[in-house]
Amino acid sequence: MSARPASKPRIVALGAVLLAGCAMAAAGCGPTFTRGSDDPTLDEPPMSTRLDRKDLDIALEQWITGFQASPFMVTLPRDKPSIAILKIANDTSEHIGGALDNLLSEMETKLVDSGAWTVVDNSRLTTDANMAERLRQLGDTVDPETRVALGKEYGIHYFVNGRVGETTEEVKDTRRVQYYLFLRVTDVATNVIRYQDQVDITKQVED
Amino acid sequence: MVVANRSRAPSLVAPLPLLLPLLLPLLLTAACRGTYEARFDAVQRAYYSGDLEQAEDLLRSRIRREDGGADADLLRLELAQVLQAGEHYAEASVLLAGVDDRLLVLDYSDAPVDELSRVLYSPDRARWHATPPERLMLNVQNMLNFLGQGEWEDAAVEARRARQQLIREHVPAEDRYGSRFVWGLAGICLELAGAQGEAQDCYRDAQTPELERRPGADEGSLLVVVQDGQAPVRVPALAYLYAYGAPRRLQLPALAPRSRGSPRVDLLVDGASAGPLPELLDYGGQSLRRYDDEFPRLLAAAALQVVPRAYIADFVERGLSDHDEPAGSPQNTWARFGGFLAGELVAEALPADTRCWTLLPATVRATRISLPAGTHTVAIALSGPGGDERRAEWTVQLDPGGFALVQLTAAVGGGFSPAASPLARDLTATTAGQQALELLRQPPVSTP
Repeated sequence: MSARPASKPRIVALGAVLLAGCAMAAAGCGPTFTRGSDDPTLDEPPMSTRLDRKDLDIALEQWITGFQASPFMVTLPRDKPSIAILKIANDTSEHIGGALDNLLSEMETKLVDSGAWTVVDNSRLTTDANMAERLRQLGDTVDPETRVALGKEYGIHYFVNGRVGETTEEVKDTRRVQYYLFLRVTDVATNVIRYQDQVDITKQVED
Repeated sequence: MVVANRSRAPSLVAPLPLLLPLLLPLLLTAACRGTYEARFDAVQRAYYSGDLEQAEDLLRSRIRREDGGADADLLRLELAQVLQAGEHYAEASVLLAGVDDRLLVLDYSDAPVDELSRVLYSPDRARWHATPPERLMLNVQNMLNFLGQGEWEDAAVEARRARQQLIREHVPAEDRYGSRFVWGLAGICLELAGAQGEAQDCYRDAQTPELERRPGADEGSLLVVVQDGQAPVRVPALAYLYAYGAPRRLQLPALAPRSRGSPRVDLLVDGASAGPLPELLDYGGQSLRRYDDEFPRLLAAAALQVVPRAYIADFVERGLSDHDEPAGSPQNTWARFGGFLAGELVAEALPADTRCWTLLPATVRATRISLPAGTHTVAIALSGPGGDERRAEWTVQLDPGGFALVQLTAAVGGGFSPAASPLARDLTATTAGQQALELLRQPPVSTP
């Protein structure tokens, strides 16, 4: 049986298919970059069990909404009392310190935007070595010396501090982290907590 | 008893052409692969001889070449150890935190035998799985890295992770409370981060007054840590076990002890002796004890590999033999030899996985002292077995209520000789051999 030579159109078609295949393979190689403004869904999927911007946005929105509607805000004097956010401590086993720094800055922005407060920048406090050391050692309560310093040296009437705790559980290849964000507003003069709320965030990863 | 049952073996008319594609990749793998520690010798030689720059260059070059490969996580752990020894704490911490997020962990002492077998003898070189002690050491090393940078909150994160490892239900009590250094170090990290309650819990379990000393007024706190010796490493070993109706030659990973480091380490502050540094962690000893517990399971996992080897040997023998010839004919004798050779080639192509975190120390010595605020000279003197002495010195500035870390990886500069494999021996009559055979009789229980 003799082999029939392939016709010219068939060879061309075969070549075209091969070229297309190579082009598709080449297109599939290398990283792909996407701009968030072109694809708003970029921020949607969770990438880890840490806190991302979406988690922080939701948490902050929930906290600020509750704060604005609280009886404390209704009775707030109109002369824009001063407030500072001292620290949001990371009491978890996740490296979320950077995310909490961002949350603190976002909170400052929201408080400024509300027009109800004179906000004392947190970085003003942390550039003072003494105060930075006090804040570093800050636990759930603020000691009297620190409160006196906040009032006298910085003219602060109220301060916000808080912490993030967690419950982590693992079953087989699934790991779930439940975060609890506690934030409270305290009166510097009286050491009375004027507002406190808790925001819950849950993240899960499955291998 | 699959091997003895020849009638269940596949029957092929001309199997060799079909076998070639199967055997060739295996042989090529065997030729290219080598054991992890053999390929890692140059890095170890540089590291233990004190040339940290060369060790770093070699590791970076391998990470570039093998990025995303099966050893990627392990190479990063080794690089972090090199960087920490050179006091490049920031980069070391980033590497370790990155690996921690995706690290696979396999507990050899209670994993199902078939799962162990799959991981240890994977033909496509599975992603490296850390053992629980290696996983714990990752957090220990990162506590030190963050303390070295003065990042207390991140050090506390690592402390909580280490604590979570230790309080898991299946951790043996002797490991849980034998890790006094880990508890004590976690206590320090949490104390510095302001988590006093958690710190107290750790100190309670640590029973290490050496690490709990807090500075008084106008004093600073100095933590001195010496990582000494070379942790035991996994090396390829041969053993014989009577399984599946015949004596079987098995390849499995053995754990070879290495140097424990200096017999005595002294601390000197401002020229005066501050006493010998106590040994608070015997990582090498813990690993060796743990290996004894793992051994029957490893042996059973190695014995499971006999089954596919015997299938292939049988496959080749049937293909080469002539059924019309008597069994003792030259051709059928060659066929048997060919079958045997094929089985051995497969065994050589799939040696046991011996990868482990090689640059870890065997022991950790530590103490925490309070010193008046100001500048101090701190020296560590390492006494060798022959009476020779090595010394390292630092100048430390301590603020009132402040904290400083002095960390020495003493094995750097201590010299390197490759760990030797143990001699092959028949383990059938040993307790471990009998336990392995018992495990093989049980149905495998793998998680889906």
